[in-house]
Amino acid sequence: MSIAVATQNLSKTYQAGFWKTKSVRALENLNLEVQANEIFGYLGPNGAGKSTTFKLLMSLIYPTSGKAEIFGRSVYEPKTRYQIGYLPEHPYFYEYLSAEEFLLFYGSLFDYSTLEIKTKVDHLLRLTEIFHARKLQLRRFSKGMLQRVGIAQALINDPQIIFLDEPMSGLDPMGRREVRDLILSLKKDGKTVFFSTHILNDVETLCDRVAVVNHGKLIGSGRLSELISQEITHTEIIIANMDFATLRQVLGPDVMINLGGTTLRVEVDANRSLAPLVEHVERASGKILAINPIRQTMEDYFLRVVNHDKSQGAYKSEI
Amino acid sequence: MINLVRICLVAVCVAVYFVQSAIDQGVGFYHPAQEVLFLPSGSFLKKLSLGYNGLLADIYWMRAVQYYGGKRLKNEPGFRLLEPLINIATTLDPQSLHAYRFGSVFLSEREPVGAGQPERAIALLQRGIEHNPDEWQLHRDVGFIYYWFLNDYKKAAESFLEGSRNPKAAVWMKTFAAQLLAQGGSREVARFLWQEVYQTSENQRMKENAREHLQKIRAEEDIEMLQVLITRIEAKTGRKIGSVDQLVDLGVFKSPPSDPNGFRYILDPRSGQVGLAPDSTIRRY
Amino acid sequence: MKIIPIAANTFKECVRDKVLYNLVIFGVLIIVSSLLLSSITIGDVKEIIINLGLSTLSIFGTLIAIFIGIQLVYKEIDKKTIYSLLAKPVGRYEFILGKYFGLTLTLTVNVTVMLLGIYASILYLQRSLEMADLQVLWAGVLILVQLMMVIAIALFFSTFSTPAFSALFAFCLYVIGHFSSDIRQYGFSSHSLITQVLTASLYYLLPNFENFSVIASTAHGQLLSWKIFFLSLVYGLTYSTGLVLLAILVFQRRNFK
Repeated sequence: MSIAVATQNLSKTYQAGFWKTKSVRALENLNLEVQANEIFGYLGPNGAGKSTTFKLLMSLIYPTSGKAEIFGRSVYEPKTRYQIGYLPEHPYFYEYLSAEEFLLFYGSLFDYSTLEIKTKVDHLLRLTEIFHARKLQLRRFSKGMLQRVGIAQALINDPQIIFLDEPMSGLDPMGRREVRDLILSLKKDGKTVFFSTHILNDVETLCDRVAVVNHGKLIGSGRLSELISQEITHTEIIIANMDFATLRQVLGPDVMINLGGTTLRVEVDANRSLAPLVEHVERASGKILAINPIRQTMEDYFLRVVNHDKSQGAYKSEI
Repeated sequence: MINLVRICLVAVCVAVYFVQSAIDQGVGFYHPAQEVLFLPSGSFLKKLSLGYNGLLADIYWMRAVQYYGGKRLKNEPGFRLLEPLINIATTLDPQSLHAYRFGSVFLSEREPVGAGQPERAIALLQRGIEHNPDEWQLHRDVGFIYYWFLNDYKKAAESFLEGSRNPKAAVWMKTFAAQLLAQGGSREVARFLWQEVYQTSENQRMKENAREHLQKIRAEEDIEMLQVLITRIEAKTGRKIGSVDQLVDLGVFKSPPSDPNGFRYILDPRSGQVGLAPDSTIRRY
Repeated sequence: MKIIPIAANTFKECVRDKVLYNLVIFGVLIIVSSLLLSSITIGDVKEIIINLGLSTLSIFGTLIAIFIGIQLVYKEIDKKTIYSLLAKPVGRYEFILGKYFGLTLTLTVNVTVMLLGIYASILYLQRSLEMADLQVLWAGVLILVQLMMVIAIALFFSTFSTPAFSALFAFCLYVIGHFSSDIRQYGFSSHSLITQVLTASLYYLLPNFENFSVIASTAHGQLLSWKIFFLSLVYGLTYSTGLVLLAILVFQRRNFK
């Protein structure tokens, strides 16, 4: 199993302020490893350093210390970028070019023949379903369509690893579905996908491994299956036709009860027997609407890890 | 790769220096001044300068001075660009008195010191008076040109009188007009005027020029005095004086008399005339 | 060579810029309008055509060079189009060179169009062209080389400065560059050694546009010396190369936030 991406103590400190005296640590000693042919999710709150990481990997910015390699080659060698596809956050492309012209231009930056480029561009235009708009200037494209163009340009060189910075942002559910399907199909083709997102739901369905950063530091990483226990931890019961006080009396003080409009939601430990509870509710003329098993979600993991980091007092992103 | 770029950059800097020097050698010292021949009229240039005519006037004034200085340094004859340069400078800034004065003197001076065209100088000064009716110095300058370069004492006196009418004028202007008419060709008048130029000019070239004139006048005085002295001694002793050194032997002078630049005066035995040494640097023009 | 596709793309970008079109059309109009003057003024009309034509060429060319030049790099960084571009196997120096040659090509086309306009006017006036009229072409070439210097200046500032400042600096350098020999002359007349060294250094460092001031003499029919022509050409190309190299150095080290 080869290593697609490896960073070693990758750090970036910015000099900020009017006189450039304040130091801001955007990324601190990042040690990351992405295996080939896996889908890797890169998570973190806003301003955590996700985009900084992407830019460092694309050599758009230079690190203060540390190094980064992609497929064993330093990211600063232009040759490395033959293997890479990159979709930046909020993609924006030359408005005066048509979609086709744009992709042809990008294609010409690799070492393909003119015919090869034309073939690839045609294929990508169809794949991302913008073939019908290929002669339209990019300034007329909607956000969703620009996203597709972005994906097309990221795939133009049939890269071994694709970097996607917040690929789902601003997309409607259909768009997100398409991106998800695309990522999965890329993995099937043997590629590696490294993407960042806020939408933890997607992480659960897509990723093999994840990493969480906060305030420029890596605060958690590992295989998804290891991080989130698959077992059922709680049971959720939705109850109607009961008032809060009565239910509280029935269940006792140490059970979580949420108010939800006309219903009440109860969360009980999975080991607890449900039969007596059901009986109590029915005797009180209440109605059980639903009983659902709850597993730990990615969200739980994420919040846990971030809060833990907060409690450590590791706020110091500024020196 | 970056180092290659750095090396190339250094090479380019060196190359630029050499190419520019080669160009400068090819076009000569006055290249910026030469374009003045093709410039549109001064008034058009004034409009073009968008309010910066003062700065532009200074630049052309500076070019005029540099042009003149360069020509003198290389002993090249002809000052054909001087008038256009001064004209542009004074059109852009009609109040630049120093330009009028500099221009009028060096337009008037005979070659190799100047262009030898005192009438052009008068025309320049008249334009100056048109734009600056309140400036008495311009009348003084006109008078000076008439007196020294055109030998027209009448017109000179008129100008000095005209200038003296201005209450701000120097005190000597009025009486000087009268003195000029009375003693036109006298050395006192000449010395006075050149002394005035020397004292009131800020420009180095002007001062130099005035000083040279004053030295010449002094030398002329010395020569006259020596001539009279020799004639008297010859009359007394009955013997002809052969050289100026004999005057030292006779005890008249402690050391051989020299002109203000330190060159000895020579007595030509055949003509009996005292004169400057052939290699003397005192001006003869 | 990745420079070519980037240059071609830059050319496309310039050509599709409405501002450029307007300037070029306006310029050609001015040149052709000089023919109307034949009924208004006395004097050598041909001289006016050449004067006006070459001056328009120079001024409009400079405007285009500055206003598009200062955006060349800045716009890509500001609009973030550069992110996806530099993620491709393109060296940063190829990007800078591509941009430079793209705009140079644009201005070459521009100068050609305007020169054609001038020659058309002369042709209309004289009904034929003489050998001496070739001087206009050489003057045009020198102006183009001067424009290449202006592009290099604008591009250089564009690598690290906002359009507002870049325009300011470029414009200042353009004006000062016409008086660089005066600066040096000032140094000659000064007595302080520091002033002399400073003015001499400035003279060689600043872009010396006086090497290219041939418009008035060409209009008067003065022949250009071959030696000076080639030296000025070399000067312009060398100076431009220097600035482009400097731009590459600056750009190589840039972090794109």
